[in-house]
Amino acid sequence: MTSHASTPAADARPARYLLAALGRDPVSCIALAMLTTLFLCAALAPWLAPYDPLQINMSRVLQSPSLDHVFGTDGQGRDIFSRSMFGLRVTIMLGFAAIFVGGTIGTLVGLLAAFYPRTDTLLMRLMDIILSFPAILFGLAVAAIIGSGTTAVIIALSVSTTPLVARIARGAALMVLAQDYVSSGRAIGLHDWTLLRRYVLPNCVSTIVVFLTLRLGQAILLGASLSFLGLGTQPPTPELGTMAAQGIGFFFFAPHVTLIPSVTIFLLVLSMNILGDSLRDILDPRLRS
Amino acid sequence: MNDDTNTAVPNARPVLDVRDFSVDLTAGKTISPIVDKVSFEVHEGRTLGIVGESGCGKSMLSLGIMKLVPSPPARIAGGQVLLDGTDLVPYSNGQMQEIRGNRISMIFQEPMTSLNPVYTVGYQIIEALRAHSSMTSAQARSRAIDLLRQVGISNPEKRVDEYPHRLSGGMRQRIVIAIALACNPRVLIADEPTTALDVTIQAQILDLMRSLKSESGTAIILISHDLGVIAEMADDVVVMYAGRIIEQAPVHSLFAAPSHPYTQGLLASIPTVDGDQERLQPIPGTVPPPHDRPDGCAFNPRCRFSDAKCRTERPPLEEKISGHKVACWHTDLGAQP
Repeated sequence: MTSHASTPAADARPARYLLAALGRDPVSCIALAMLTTLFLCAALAPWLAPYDPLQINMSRVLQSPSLDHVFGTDGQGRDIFSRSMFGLRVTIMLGFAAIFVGGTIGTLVGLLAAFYPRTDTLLMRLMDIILSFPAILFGLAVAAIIGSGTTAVIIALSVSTTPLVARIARGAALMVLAQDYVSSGRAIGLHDWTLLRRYVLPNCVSTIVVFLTLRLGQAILLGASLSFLGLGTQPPTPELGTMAAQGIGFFFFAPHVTLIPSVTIFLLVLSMNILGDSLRDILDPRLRS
Repeated sequence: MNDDTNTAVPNARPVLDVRDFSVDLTAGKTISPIVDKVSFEVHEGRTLGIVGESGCGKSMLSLGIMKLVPSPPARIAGGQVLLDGTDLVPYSNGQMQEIRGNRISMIFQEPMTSLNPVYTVGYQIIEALRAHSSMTSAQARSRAIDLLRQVGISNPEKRVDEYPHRLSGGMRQRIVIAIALACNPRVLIADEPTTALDVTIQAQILDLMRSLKSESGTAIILISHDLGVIAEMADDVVVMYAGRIIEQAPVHSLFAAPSHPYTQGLLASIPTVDGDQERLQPIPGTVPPPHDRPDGCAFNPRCRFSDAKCRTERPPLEEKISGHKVACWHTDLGAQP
């Protein structure tokens, strides 16, 4: 139903339509501006960063924010502003990788479960089993098996994202499969794979994408948490969660070392969630006035 | 009624020959037949009308012929579907994909939802064409434009790139017909093709189907609950009740001398133009659900002629007059209501 009603406006110029709808809500505008700034900082870090993020300078340890170092320096005298920019890159990359891998596998599982009822029980109960473990526990397990690092975080986040996406995709696909055009597709003799790819997937993709934008914020938060716990990205590679963890020791006399990466994560996830919410409202015709 | 209704049924082999075809429905542990040993033939260039109330199994029958019954819970339980002499029932899904849309096509009831909203109508016609032939995309596109012109869409070069939501119900149904006819099928199954359309559009769509049939020689199975549409379109009629055929006759014979009390009831519940009747005569009661069909004749609880025999023994479908088959113990009574 969603795609029926959203296509008239969306098919002409989807990007312009989305931007215009976002522009009507001031909170979404601020969130969009914030997110754009953060993404630009991450993307352009090698060119914008004033210092080398790995450059240790023991003569400038734990300095407070100043004109030289806008966000101050950390325990090894590294510039926190530069490290935050590079850290943002890794953090965002972790989130996107997890969303991409988990989203792809989850969509595939969900569509197959809906399309072939015989596999439904097996696949969905498997997803329920995975769903019963918290993501942090997965991180611990994966880190214990392959050692902590970026790969471990991506695997843990993907595995914990897969069942959520699979459920959403299955529900959306079941709704699409009940539509007449799928029966028509069968009646013109299309192969199962063609039906799935051209009839089922495009008609549930908007539901899945909106869910993934909401999940992206959570994935980033979880990735940073795993790194904070020491299971993810290892020092000296800058990553926001790792950076926050490194500042814990001096929290009472140099709080900025922990606070700045934490606030960056907070702003990143907050703006993503606000945008995800408005995106859902815009794409859901039932909520449109 | 059609002009050619009085010509004898051709002796040639029927395009589609359905024999003792059954579909079962499983609900929990009970298995109940929703289509029960149905047999009929459709000949080239002729239209078979299937009539019945909601729930009598006519849609399941048409999905069954295409082997598209939702399985589970439904399942083809037996019988044969001979397309040009070849039985389709043992075919695998892969083999059926070669048949569907190519040699048997189907039109669904609801044109508003039977087109994929994310593709242009041209794309969907081309898809049907290329699923069954090795056309280049340019050839398929020009064939799609031809088809749109053939089903009476004005400005087909422009319409071919439209999305379904920009078209009206009548236009969409024309496109659905264009898709169904893309590969020149031998049989076209139309499941209530005009029910969702308003009356003027209905007449246009029926005209279109009739002229396409006479051009291509496609055999049509027309499923409807509307006896007016059946009288207008069909050459032969099958009346179904509770999953069984209860009367089967050429259209003129059926309307002139309805022999089963159910068919008589259906005809009595239509308003007539001369209108000397005060009230319409409804048939009391409803079609029994598949898991709770009475013994004997399934119609007996609603029938004014029912007696002890009707409640215990199922009447066979027998030829009473030439070409006119009825399943009733009381046709002698029923014939003179």
